[in-house]
Amino acid sequence: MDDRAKVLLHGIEQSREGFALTDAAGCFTYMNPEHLRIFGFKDQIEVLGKPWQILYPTESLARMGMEVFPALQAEGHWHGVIPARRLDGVIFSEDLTLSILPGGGIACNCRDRSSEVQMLERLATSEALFHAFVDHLPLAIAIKTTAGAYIFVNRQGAVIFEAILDSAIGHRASELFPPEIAEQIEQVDREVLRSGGAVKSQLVLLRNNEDLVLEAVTFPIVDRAGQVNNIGGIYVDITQRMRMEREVAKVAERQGDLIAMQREFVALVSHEFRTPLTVMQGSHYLLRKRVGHGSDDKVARYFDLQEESIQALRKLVDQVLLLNRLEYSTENIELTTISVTDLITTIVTRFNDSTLAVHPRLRLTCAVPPDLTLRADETLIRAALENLISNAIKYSAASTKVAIHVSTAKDELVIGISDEGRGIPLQQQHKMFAAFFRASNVGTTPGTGLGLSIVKRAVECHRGRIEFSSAEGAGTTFQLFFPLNDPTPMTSSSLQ
Amino acid sequence: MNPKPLLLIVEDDPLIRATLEMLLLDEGYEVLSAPDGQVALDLLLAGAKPAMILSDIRMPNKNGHELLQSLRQLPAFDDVPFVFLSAKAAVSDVCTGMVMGADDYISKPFDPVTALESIRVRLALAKRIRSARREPT
Repeated sequence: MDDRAKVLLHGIEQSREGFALTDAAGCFTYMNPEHLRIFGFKDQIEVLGKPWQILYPTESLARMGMEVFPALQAEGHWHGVIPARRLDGVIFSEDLTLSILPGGGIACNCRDRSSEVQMLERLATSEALFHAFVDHLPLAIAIKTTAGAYIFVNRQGAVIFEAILDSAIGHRASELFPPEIAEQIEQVDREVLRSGGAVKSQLVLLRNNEDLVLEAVTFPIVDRAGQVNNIGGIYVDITQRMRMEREVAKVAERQGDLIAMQREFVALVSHEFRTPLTVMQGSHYLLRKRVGHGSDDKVARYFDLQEESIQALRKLVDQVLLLNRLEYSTENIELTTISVTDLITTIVTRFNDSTLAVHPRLRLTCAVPPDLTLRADETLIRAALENLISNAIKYSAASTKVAIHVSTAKDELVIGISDEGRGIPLQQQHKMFAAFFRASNVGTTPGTGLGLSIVKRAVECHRGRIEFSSAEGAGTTFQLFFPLNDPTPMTSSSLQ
Repeated sequence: MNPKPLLLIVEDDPLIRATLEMLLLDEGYEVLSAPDGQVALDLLLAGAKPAMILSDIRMPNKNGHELLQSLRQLPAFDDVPFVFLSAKAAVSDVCTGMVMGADDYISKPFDPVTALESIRVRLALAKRIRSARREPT
């Protein structure tokens, strides 16, 4: 063998492509290592002198006879893909090129196409999956080139854009949508290309004479080299959501109107109660003065009942009006420097005089530092404290203690009112500041259920806050915190 | 025996007016009443000499503030105690009244015992002031 032939042979031996030669009778005279590997042989010995037919299944032999060899004879060569059989019996796709050699032998080049075919099959499966998902998504998806021509629209997209899938492909927004919508879409596309990031937008299309509102996210699609080659868009139909949001807003507005009407009604009615109450109180006073003295116990009892009812009604009216005023307007709140020490002492003295006559074994104690002042509306602070102390006394048993403790901490004035009464059930504590709420364990103790609402509002009007801890059967502690250095009252809007 | 003090009630609500009249008459006062500020002023200009004026604030024709303003310009009524009757919510009305020179206010609905007591105290005070003025210093 000369050098040139040696080089050629070396190249063929090292080739990543299978190569074999047959004689004119079709028996193998040479097979390179790659060809041997493709078909599962280890050595040329296994194939030399054997006919080429040993490498193919019956159906391939038939095709060879009918199609391949006639073409090979006519053209001198043939190229195609044909099923072949490995030594272990596995059939695979062989990429085969045949050429007729001088003297009638055949040279064949071959490659195993099975991995490529598998890849194509896998690709086809992925594509089918992709389409199955994308077409059944309740979102519209569209992909277009950077020049704006649509290259993909999913089924939902076709529905939303009213475009038949194929008719959108290759077209630009300006050919598919009214000018103003197209301009909006193109503007977003430009923004995406400029920023290189996703852009959110909203599109309103007219469908069946109704607005179709789409929320859109448009984003760049980047190729392997990092270049933006396409623009993707995902569109969500939010028409229903928008409609519901509008409905909810309308309902909320109507509710607000109703609350305002209710508030005005309550104020009006309560106000109107004042005249008859005044008349009732006056008449009751005179009647009792004239008839009550020297009458029997029954008559005295009737007068007491009448007076109690008048007082209860009066208190209810006062509280409703006070709460109404606190909730919706703070214009009547007037801050002056009040002496907390004097105020609390006065209140406690009054309670000691009046209520301890009814609950002789209840102890009401009070610890207030001297000369404590606060910028506040005295009427409101008084109302808050009276409500809390009155509650503490009302719901306390005999031989227990109600303690009032006043202190300053940091920039706050803290007023604590503790009792050892029946407490508030844990599961009801979250609603105890709601108007007209009364805990389930109040029994027959009278009350309007407005006191704590008033306390809370009164404290909030001073930019203060209220905290409490309560355990059923063990007692309740309320703490009111008032800022010492913030004399600005809350406005009614900031109270919400 | 001292003559019974005469009190002038100025109140547009007939029920409140009647109740006040009843209470004051029962307490032994003489009572004169007017449904609005204008009628009250007419009565005063016609010669009525009340020991005290109890007046509502919000009224037709001439309201309580306007009545007080008119009276403060008449020296004859300079030392007559003027007390406003007011709904509790109308704090600002009361403040305006006090700034204008009212002597006191009674809030509606009023408790008869408290209201009568403050009227009594106010009358006694006015009497003391009057006698102090009469005595040479």
